Amino acid sequence: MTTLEWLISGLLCVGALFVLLGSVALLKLPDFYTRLHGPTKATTLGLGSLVLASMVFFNLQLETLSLQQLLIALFLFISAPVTAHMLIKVAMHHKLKHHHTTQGVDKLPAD
Amino acid sequence: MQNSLFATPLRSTLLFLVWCALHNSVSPVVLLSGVILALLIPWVSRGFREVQPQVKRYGLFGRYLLMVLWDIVVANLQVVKVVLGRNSALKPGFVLLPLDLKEPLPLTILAATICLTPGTVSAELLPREADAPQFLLLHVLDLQDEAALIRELKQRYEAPLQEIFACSV
Repeated sequence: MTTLEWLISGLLCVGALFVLLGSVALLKLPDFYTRLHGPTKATTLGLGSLVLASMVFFNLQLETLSLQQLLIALFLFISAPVTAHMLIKVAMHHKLKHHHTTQGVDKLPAD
Repeated sequence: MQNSLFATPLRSTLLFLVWCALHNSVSPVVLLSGVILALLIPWVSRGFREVQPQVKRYGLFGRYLLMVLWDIVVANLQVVKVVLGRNSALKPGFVLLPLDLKEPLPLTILAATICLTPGTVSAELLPREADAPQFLLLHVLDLQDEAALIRELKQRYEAPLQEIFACSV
């Protein structure tokens, strides 16, 4: 394998690992609020890494210009925080249960 | 000027570039439809436009973006550590971050940054009245030292944003 192929494989593995860990977080963490942290962070980095692997493959290995991956990353970075923000707002509105060790529950808005 | 097709040159350019990148080509059809859309979309949505503070220091903004990218990597390792640990050792918490920023655009960027980085998700802007001092309610995955966290968020993210947009100083 060439260096490029090693690089691409490495990026793919790291990406897959982080996406997996993000999903594990969804499965394992105790309440809605903590589960939200998995997809906003681990999955963002995992997907970023996969996108980077795809860019390296198309632009350097096949030597064709390909910019769509940049857009995927851009849209992801714009939409992930907004989605998380809306989800947690809805969760607070519905007064979902929090894990019993949660601190600062008194800071939640009353309505 | 506000109603002209060329009211937002930067936005039009960005739309045009995104359109070309989406098609991954510069054939005449793509270029022509790109120009038309880049002019029409900002014009159609002009009613939603609000005047926002402009980025004053592009160099600093670039550095800020790179720093955030790096912080995303670090934040991920922290989250992974927490995810693989035991649930009973978990110390999640809500924190109020006092804000010096007031303008919607920098605030949005701050909230998005906080969401993508250090084990925090922005939850709510409090209170909603315009002139009261505002707070950002955060949910923290693993809360160890509240005061230190607030200090770090303010120094690392809010202060540079204030400089970049040259506002509320």
